[in-house]
Amino acid sequence: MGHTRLGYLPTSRRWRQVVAALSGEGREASSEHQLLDEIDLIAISTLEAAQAGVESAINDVGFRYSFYLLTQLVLAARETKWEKRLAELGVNPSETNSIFELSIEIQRLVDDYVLSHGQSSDIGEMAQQAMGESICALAGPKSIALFGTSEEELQSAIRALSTKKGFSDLGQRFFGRFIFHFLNFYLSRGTAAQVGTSRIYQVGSLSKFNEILQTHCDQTAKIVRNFCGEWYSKTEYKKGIDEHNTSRFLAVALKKLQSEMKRQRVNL
Amino acid sequence: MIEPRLFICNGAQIEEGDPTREGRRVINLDTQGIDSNVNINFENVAKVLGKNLPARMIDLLEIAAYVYAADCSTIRGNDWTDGDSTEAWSRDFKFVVAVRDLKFWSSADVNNMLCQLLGFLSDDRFSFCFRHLKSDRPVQEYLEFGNSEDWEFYGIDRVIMFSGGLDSLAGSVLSASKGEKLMLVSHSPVSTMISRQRKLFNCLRGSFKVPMIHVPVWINKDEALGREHTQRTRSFLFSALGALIAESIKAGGVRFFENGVVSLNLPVADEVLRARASRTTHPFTLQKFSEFYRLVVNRDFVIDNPFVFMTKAETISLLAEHGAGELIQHTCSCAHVGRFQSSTQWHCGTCSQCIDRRIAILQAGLSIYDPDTDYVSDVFTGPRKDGYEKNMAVNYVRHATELNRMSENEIATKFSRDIGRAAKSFDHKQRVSLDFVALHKRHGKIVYDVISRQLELHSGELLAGQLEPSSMLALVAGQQHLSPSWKQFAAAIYSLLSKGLSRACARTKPKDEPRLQEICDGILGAHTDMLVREFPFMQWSSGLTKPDWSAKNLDLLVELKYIREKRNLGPTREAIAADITKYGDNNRKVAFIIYDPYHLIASDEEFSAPVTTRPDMFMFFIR
Repeated sequence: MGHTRLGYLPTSRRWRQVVAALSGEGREASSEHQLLDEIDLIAISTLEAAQAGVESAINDVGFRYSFYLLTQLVLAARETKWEKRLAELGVNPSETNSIFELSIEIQRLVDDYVLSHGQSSDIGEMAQQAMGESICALAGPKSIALFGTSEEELQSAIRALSTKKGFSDLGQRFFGRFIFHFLNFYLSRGTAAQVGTSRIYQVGSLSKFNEILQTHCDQTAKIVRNFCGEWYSKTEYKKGIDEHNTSRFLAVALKKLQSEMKRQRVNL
Repeated sequence: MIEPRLFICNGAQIEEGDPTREGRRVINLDTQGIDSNVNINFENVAKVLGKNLPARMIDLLEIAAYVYAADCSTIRGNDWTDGDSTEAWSRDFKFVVAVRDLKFWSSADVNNMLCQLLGFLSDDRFSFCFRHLKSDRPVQEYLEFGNSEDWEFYGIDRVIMFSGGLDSLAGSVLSASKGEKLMLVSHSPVSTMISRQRKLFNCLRGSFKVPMIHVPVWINKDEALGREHTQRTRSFLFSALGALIAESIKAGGVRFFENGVVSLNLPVADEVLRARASRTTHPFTLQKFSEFYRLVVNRDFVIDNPFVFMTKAETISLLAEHGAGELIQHTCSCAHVGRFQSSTQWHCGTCSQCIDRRIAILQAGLSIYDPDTDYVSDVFTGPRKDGYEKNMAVNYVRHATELNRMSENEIATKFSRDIGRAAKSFDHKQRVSLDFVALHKRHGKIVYDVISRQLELHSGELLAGQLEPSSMLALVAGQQHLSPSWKQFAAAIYSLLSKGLSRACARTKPKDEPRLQEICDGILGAHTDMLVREFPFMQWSSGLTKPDWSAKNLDLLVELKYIREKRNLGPTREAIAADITKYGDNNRKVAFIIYDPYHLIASDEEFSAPVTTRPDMFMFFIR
């Protein structure tokens, strides 16, 4: 009974240019290496074609709440009674025995919030995915286990993100993954169609393309790294982080990301 | 944007100027009377059903049928809005339905829960307004009675949803093997499916001695209302039919049998967000169904899926374990039932369901019951049309092989949103999450193993370049080795120069072509010793000619052209024409590299046309 709906890219001039960039149209022969070399160009073309989507992200309920919850999660870890603070956020303290369980609870909060504030959206889903990946990434090789850890270890790992530097890391990871999922929401409709050509000659090449696009996005998000830490630190100190100032921050952060990609194009 | 719709159902009345109509396309839906456009027909039901069916359950049946009809008749379309950045996927539905149990349906809890579960299933916005049903609408119109006065088994544990596919068959076989009485309910919008389900049921009944009943239900709508294939609310209708039968025999609930990979339906590509991957039997869907039907029947009631931690190959293995392998040939898994015309073949071989089925059957070693000839196109070696067929195969295989390669932590991290969303419906979320991760790891390995074996089986065709280029195996393995080595080498030269020149000439462009050649020679010389500058001399007409570079082993010549000014365009074209003739006459392969840093060539296609018509010549542009 499972069904997956696959769609198409728009057919406007800008989107046709994105497809042309993917396919290497206009060049007699083009290789996988060239495609991977051109990933920054493809990313910029896509971002420009989906410009209105970036702007609508600013007002997206799921996007805003996902990032807001990240700020509240790390702030909660600073508290001695962090279970109490988590409960105030809506997290069931008995469901936080590991990073993954905590991630499930945070995802549930976003789901519930989105449901009570209208309807889910594609942008909100991308943000939730970025949020989940950012939290689960705590379980890196030098950190704690994704499944099964003590409550103290969990709080300590999250507390490490509550500093200016820690939140800079978290912010970069969130925005890197968000922009990757945003771009690939569109690009994945075009890249699958290229498999079998000299640009993406087999299924494995598509996996490689996705990996390199993700790395590119993670690196591009470096531009908002310090901005995340500074905003988090100053705002919390001065007036406290709320959904309203989170929303304004997100608008500026997205503009910075766009500007960075445009700057990269100038340098190409 | 998809125009919001208002569905006026069951003869409900709304004044012309009523604000409910504002901004909406109005469509009347009715299951009875001369204007009926939604059909409901239960076959083989006990006569008691016509007498004792509670009014609320009849309302439920009609509401579910109207929701399904609205879903199937409203095309989501391929349009994009918001400056071509937002896909027009979600729709906006308002229903005004006349019901018998107005008090119940008007309660905020019921209304909210109904809208939420439909929203999760379909990504559409639903709102309902209920009115009192004024005229009687006899339920007998929907029922075709069988021979029984009353049902044979009251109080069984679950009514089983019987789709006629492999998973529901495996579940039925498992239940029958345990000695359970089976009450199977099927739904179909088309007659071909019902006849297949009926045949399968008869075979199942012939294989097991336990009492079993099959209730096929037809629900469809007039073709004229429109046709949308995604049908995300179908499981609401299906479960409502099951709930209605379950309530009539006071069963403990309704059971779906669906393997966990399909049940969770993790996105196979980044474009597959929300209900683009159907949530038919998603654990959260079943949780919401249970909560909703508990309100409807006002007692404890469970909708569950015992196969949620199993792969399809594992569910199919149950058929062999319980001696029911031969029933496989009577099942149908294809998503395109009724869409391709073949009386002997039931499977298209191109949809994700056919891919899933074939891989699971091969893994379970039961292909004897699922002959190749049952597929219109071979899943692994058959041609795939551009678009859905090709993209589905690519995404399915890429997703599964990545699952096979990833560690458990990587799977959990990448799919944390989706695994978390599925696990939240269970008590032991961490253990359940780990089980879901393990399930997908097994699925990835199964797909990897089956495809590996298929590649071995077809290795001869692959090496000889005889595989259909659009087939799944060709897409997996690529046939790049068949591309002539001189073309690959030419492409590598282009890649080197493209990267090297953009850096070497970023600030200052070369003053002339010889200087450009020197720079290029430096770049190429640092990477390969296969190229020789200005060699070999070749006889042409009464004189000698030589290319800019050559690769002797590959018989390849490389010509570099520099477009510095617009006035160079004409002479460059002439030089290329001369090269084509000179080198063509010497039977050489040629790669032309055009350095055009000022974008003076208006059309690459037009400029390269004299070259692209020749199989042994290529043209690359560097800017």
